Amino acid sequence: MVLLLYGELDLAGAPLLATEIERAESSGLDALVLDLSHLDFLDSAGLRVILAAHERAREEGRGFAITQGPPQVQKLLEIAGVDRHVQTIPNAEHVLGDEPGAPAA
Amino acid sequence: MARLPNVRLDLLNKPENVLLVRETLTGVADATGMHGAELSDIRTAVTEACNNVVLHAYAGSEGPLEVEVMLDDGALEVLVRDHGVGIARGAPAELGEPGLGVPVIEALSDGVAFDEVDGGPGTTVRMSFNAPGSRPLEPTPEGSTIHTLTSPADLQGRSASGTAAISVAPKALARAVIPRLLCVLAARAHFSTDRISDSQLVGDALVAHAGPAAEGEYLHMAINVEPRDLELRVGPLPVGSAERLVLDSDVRGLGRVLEKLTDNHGVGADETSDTLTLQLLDRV
Repeated sequence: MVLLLYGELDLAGAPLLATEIERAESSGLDALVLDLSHLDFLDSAGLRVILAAHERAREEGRGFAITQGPPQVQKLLEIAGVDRHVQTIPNAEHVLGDEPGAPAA
Repeated sequence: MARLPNVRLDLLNKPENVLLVRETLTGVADATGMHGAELSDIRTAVTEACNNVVLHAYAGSEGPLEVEVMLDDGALEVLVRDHGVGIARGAPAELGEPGLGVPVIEALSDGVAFDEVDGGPGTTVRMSFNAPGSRPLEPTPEGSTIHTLTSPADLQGRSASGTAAISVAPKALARAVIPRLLCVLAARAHFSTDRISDSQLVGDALVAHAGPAAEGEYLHMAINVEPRDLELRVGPLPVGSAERLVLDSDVRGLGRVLEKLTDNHGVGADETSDTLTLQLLDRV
């Protein structure tokens, strides 16, 4: 499943994303891709939700990836060292093509 | 000797208020011609400092979030202040993991200092940014003092979630910041796009006509947000100038903008100053 994120993912919006990810997880998906390419802004509160989803996926044996985002997003991911832990792909179509098991959203 | 800020925001430490801080910074960048990458780093770093106030400064309860922006030639200083336990002691313990906020601030700013608030409790995070792409504004007038209509203590007792107070100078900065903030607050009040646009026009008119008395001085505004209801209190203004501000807002073909686009307006006056109150409603 691909979740396409729009707007500003900040402290105010992070709980909404957490709820949506948990809803997706409870539907029994094989892999989750968070498409960050349309985000206007990301802060550490939003990033924490992304990292928590990554951690759950690892523990529960699900695929998990994020797409590259705009420069502000990439810079935050770089500072936080996220690229060392989380699979980052150029775009959502890319991973869906590479992993036939992952259902399209 | 502390410099006077170009912008001071008095907010409550609510998650949604951090957007107001970011929008203010975007307005500052518009007014100074700052580069996109410079603005992006400033927005990210200042957001993290504000997030820490929201999450940690008041141990789960509400309290003031104060932000000050000072422009200097090719540089910007931003202060984020709380009157609670602050960033230094609160963040890591409560998160149960090393906080990301401080490393992000350190990586994106050109200098950061954490100071105890004089007479505490509280912490001031002082961030400096080099912004070689920015052009200087007219300087903040010497001798001006900031008069916010609501002190942080007053804000704490309010029920309205959207209440904000801003003081801004000079006029070139107010022009870039005030209409932008009113748009965000009108959206928060669930206004229609037409009414959001009206709110922006009211902001434009206020800044344009809050002179000549206010030229070179601070424009002070307190904004109260309720569902479909935006109340602006502008002042202190020089005695006798509030009504004139309304009369002067005449635009050919549109009439007096501050009358036409608002649902109510009123002038409060005492011996030393006027206050102009404007109310915008959106009746669906």
